[in-house]
Amino acid sequence: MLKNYIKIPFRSMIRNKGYSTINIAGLAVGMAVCILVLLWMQEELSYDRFHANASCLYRVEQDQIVDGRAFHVNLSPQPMAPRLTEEIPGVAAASRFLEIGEQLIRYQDIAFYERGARIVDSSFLAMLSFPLVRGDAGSALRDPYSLVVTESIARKYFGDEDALGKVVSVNGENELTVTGVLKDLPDNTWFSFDMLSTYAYAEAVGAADTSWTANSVMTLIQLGDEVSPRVVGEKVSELVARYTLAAVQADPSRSADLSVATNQFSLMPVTDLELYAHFGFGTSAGQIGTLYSLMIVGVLVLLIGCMNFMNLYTARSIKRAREMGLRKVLGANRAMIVRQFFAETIIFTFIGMVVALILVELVLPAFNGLFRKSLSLDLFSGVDVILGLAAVGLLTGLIAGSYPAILFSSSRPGSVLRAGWSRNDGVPAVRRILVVIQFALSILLIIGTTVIYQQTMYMKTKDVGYSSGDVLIIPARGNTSQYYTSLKTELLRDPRVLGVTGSWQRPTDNSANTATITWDGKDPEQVVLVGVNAVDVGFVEALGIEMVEGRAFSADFATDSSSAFLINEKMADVMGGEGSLGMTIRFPRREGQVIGVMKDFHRKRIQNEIDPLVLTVSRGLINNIIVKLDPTDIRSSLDAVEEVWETVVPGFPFEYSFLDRDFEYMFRSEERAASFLSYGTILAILTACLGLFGLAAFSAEQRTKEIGIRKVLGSSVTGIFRLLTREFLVLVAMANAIAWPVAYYVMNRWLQDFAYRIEMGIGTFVLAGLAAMIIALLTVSFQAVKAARSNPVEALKYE
Amino acid sequence: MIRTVNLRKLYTTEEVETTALNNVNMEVKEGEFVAIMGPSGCGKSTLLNVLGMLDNPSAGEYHFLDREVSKYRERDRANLRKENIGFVFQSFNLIDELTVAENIELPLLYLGRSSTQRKLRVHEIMEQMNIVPRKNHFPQQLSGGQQQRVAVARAVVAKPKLILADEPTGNLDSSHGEEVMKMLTDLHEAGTTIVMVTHSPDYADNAQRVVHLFDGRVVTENLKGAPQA
Repeated sequence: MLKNYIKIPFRSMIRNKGYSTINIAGLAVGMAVCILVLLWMQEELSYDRFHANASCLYRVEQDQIVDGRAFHVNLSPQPMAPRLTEEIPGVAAASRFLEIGEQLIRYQDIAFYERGARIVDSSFLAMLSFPLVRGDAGSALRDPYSLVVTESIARKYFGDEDALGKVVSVNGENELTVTGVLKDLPDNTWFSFDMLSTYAYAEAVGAADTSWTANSVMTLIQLGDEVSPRVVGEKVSELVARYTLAAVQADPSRSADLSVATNQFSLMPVTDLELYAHFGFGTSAGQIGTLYSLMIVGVLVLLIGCMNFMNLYTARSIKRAREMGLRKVLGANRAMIVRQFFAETIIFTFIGMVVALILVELVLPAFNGLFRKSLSLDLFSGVDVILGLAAVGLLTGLIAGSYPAILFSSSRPGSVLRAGWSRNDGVPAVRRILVVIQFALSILLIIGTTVIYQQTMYMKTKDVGYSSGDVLIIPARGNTSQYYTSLKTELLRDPRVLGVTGSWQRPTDNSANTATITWDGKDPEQVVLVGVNAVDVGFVEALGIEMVEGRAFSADFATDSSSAFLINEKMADVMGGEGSLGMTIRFPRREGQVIGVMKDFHRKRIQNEIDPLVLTVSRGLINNIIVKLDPTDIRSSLDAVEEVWETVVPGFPFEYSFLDRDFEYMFRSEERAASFLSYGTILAILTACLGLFGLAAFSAEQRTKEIGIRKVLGSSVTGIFRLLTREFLVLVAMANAIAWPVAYYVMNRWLQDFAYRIEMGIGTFVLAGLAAMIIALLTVSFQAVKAARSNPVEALKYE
Repeated sequence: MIRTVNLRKLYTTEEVETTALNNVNMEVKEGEFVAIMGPSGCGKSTLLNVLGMLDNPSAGEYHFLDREVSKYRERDRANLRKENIGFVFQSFNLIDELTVAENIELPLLYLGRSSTQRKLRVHEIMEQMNIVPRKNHFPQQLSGGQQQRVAVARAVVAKPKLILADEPTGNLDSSHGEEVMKMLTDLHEAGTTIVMVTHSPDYADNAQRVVHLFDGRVVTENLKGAPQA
C-alpha cells in the first residue's frame, strides 16, 4: 500500500515539472529559513550550558525602585561576595567578576592595550568550567599577583615559550606572574575575557571598593544541590539591608543610603545571561528579542510556503478529486485517502527538506558573515539536529497536507465521477482565503520592516543635542590622564584643533547615577536618580551643546572648578522649573551654585528618555580626552593630534574613536532586527508570488474554454487580461484591509519601547499595499497575457 | 440480489429541485444480466450510482444481498461495495499515474490482499483479457478499447458478485464496443450478475432483460425476446 502511495506523487511530480518545482521551492525556502532559525536558537540556547555546575550557577541581580521608576541592576556591592559564602547556607561558592577597562600589558618589548582583563576571586575557575591547559584551576588564582591568560594571549606575548611563570607588567606599575593558561573561550559563552587577575590584587593596588551602597561588580554564585534560588535571593536582600544599616549607624551623615535597604535581590541563572541579560540600568541587551523576531519571520515564511502548497495542490482539484472518487469506488475508505494525502505531502516535504538543506549550506557563509555568527549545519553532530529537522519536516507536512486531505477525503464518490469537481464546492473560496492570508502576512512584513527602518533612521538623524562627526575621543588609559594638561596646551597650539576638553564618563555612555543629591527646597522624602559627569572647562563648547540659561564653565571663574554646576532642562524641571539658576546643589563631597542650564542632549542609548543630568568640573577625574577637530580637514587635523600625542605621552599608543561611531553602536540591535526582517520579507514575498504565479496559471488553464468562448464572441485581449487579473487584485486589496490594522497594532506596540519615536503615517501603509499590489499584478500578468493571446480555436477544440 | 422499493433521489440546488429517481421499484436476481435504457437525463446513471452505493437515496428502500442499505454510513457502504461490486465507466476512469498492472491491482490493495496474492491474481486476469504485453504501459499509451479492457479487468479482479457498467461502450468505436460486450457476456456466462446502462438497443440485446427509464420512473420492463410494448 505504501508503495502505491509513493508512486503517484513521484510520477505526477515528473509529469508536472513546473508546478512541482514551485511547490517544492516554496516549501524548501520556508524550511531553509526555519532551519537557520533553529540553528541560531540551538546556538543561543547552548550558551553556558557546558559548565559542569551550569544548573547551580547564578548571577546576583537586584530591582530598585527610585523616584517611582523601576531599575533592574545586574551589579552588586563589592564586599558582598565573600559574605554570601560565609553567611548564607546553601551558597557553595561566590566570585566577583569585575571589568577594569583597558590595561597596558608589557612583556619585554611587546606591549598592547588589553580590553579583556577581568578581576575575579580565586574560586572563579573552579565554579565555571573554562578548562586550563597549564596550571591548576584550584590554585592558579591563589596568589594576589597571579595572572591567568588564554592561549591566544600567551601566544601573543610569549610565542612558543611556556607561559607559566612569565612576569608581565601592568600599566607600567605592577608585575604579575602567569600561573595558568586557559583554553580560548568557546563561542557559546556569555562571558568574555582573556586574562584574569585576582580581587586580592585589586585590593592591594587600591582599586577595590568597600562600600555597600555602590553597585560596581558582578557577583556570581554557585548554590548547593536543591537550594532554592528564590530563598537565597531573599536572604541576600536581608544581608545587604543589614550591612547598609550598620554602615549608616557608623556614619549617620550617610542616611540617604538607607534607600538601598529596600532593594530586592534575585538570582539569574548563568545559562540565561545571553538571552535575557539585563544591562546596567533597565535596558535589556539580551538576544531574546532578536530571537523572537527571527522565529516570527521563520514561521511566517514557512506558513506562506505551506499555503502555497495547499493552494496549488487543491488547484489541481478536478483531476485529483476524480482520482479520489475513483479510489473510493474501488474500495478506499476515508482514512486511506487521508493517509495517501499525507504520504504525498510528506514526500514533497522530504524533497523540499533536501533542497532546504542544500540552500542552508549555500547561504550559511553569507549568513554568518552578515550576522557575525559561526553557525554550522552538521547533520551528524547529535540527535537534536536530526530531531529538529524531523520536527520541521513533520510540521510542514502536516500543515501543508491537512487541507487537501480533508477536502478530498470528504468528497462523495458518485458525484465526483459524474460531474467532475463543481466550482461551487467551496474550493475556490478557501483558496482565495489562503491567497489573502499569504499576502496579508507579506504586507505585514513590509510594513514592519519599513517602520523599523524609519525608526532607526529617525534615531540616527535625530538631533542628539550636540555635534558628533568632528569630535574625537581619546581614552586616557593607565596613567595617561596625568598628561592631560600638557596635552591640552600642546594641542591648542595647532589651528586645526578647535577645542580640547575632557570628561569622566564618555558623553555617549554616561551611566553614572546617584540619589545622594540635594538642593535648596528639595522635599527630603523625594528620591531622584540623577546622572552625574565630571568634565573640564570647554566641554559644552566642544560638543556644541546649546545653553538655555546662564553660562558654560569658564576658566575665568576660579570657583567654576570647585563649586559650580551645569544642569540640563530635565534637571531644571525636577528642581522646580524656573529659577533654578543660582540655586545651591549639594553632593556628599561637593556643593555649589547652578551657573547654567543646558538644552537636553542624549547621553545614553537614544532609545531612552533623557534623564536629569548634573555636570561639574573636575580635572582629576578625566578618563576621556575630547578633541574638537576642524571639520573641513579631519584627516590632517587627526594627524596633528597623533603627532602631539606621541611627543607628550611616550609609551602609550595613540588610540581614538569618533563620537559618531558611538552612535552607530547604539542602533546595532535595531539595525540587525531590520536586516533580518528585510531578508525575511523578501523571501516571504517571493514565496507568496511563486504561489500566486502557479495559481494564476491554473486559473487561466481552468478557464481556457471560457476565454476561448469570450474571444470568439469578440472580447479583446485587454478584456481577457482584465478578467484574469481583476480577481487577484481584489484578493490583494482584501489582504491590505486585514494587514493594515494588525500592522498598526503590532508596530505601535513595538514603538512604545522608544522614548522618542516616529509617528506611523498612512503613507507607509499605502506604499506597502501598492508594492504588494504591483508585485501581484506583475506575477499574474505573465499568465494573463499568455491566456489572453491564445488562439480560441485551440482552446475549444479539446472540449 | 437487488430489490428497490419506492426509491427516490432528489437533487436540490439553490434554485431548483430535480427529481432524478421517482419511486423506482426494481429487482435483479443473482446471475441476471439487466440493461437499463432511456433518454439522456432520465436518471439512468443516478440509479446506477445508488445501486452501486456510491450515493444514498433520498427516500425508499434499497435491499442489497438481503440487507437494507439505504441508511448505511459511508464506511459500511464502502466495505460492502469493495467486497461485492465492480464498476465499469464510459470514460474508463483509469488513474493516469499508475500502470496497467497497478490500476488493475488497486481493488485488491484496498481489500488488503497480500502482495503475492495480488501479483498472481493480476497476472491471471491480464492473461484472461489478453493485456499482459501492456502491463507496464500507462493509460495514455493505450487506445480507448485497450483502456476499457483494463477497466473491465480492474472491475472483475476482485471477483465481485455484481458488475455495474455505465455505458461501457459509449466512448468506443463499434469493433471495440463489440469486444467489450463480449467480455461482459462471458462474465455473465461465468455467473456474474451484470447491470448495464446503455443507449444502444443492439448492446441491450445481450441482456436478459431491459428496464426502460423515463423521467426517473421505470416505464417498461422487457424480458429478452418478449414483444416490445
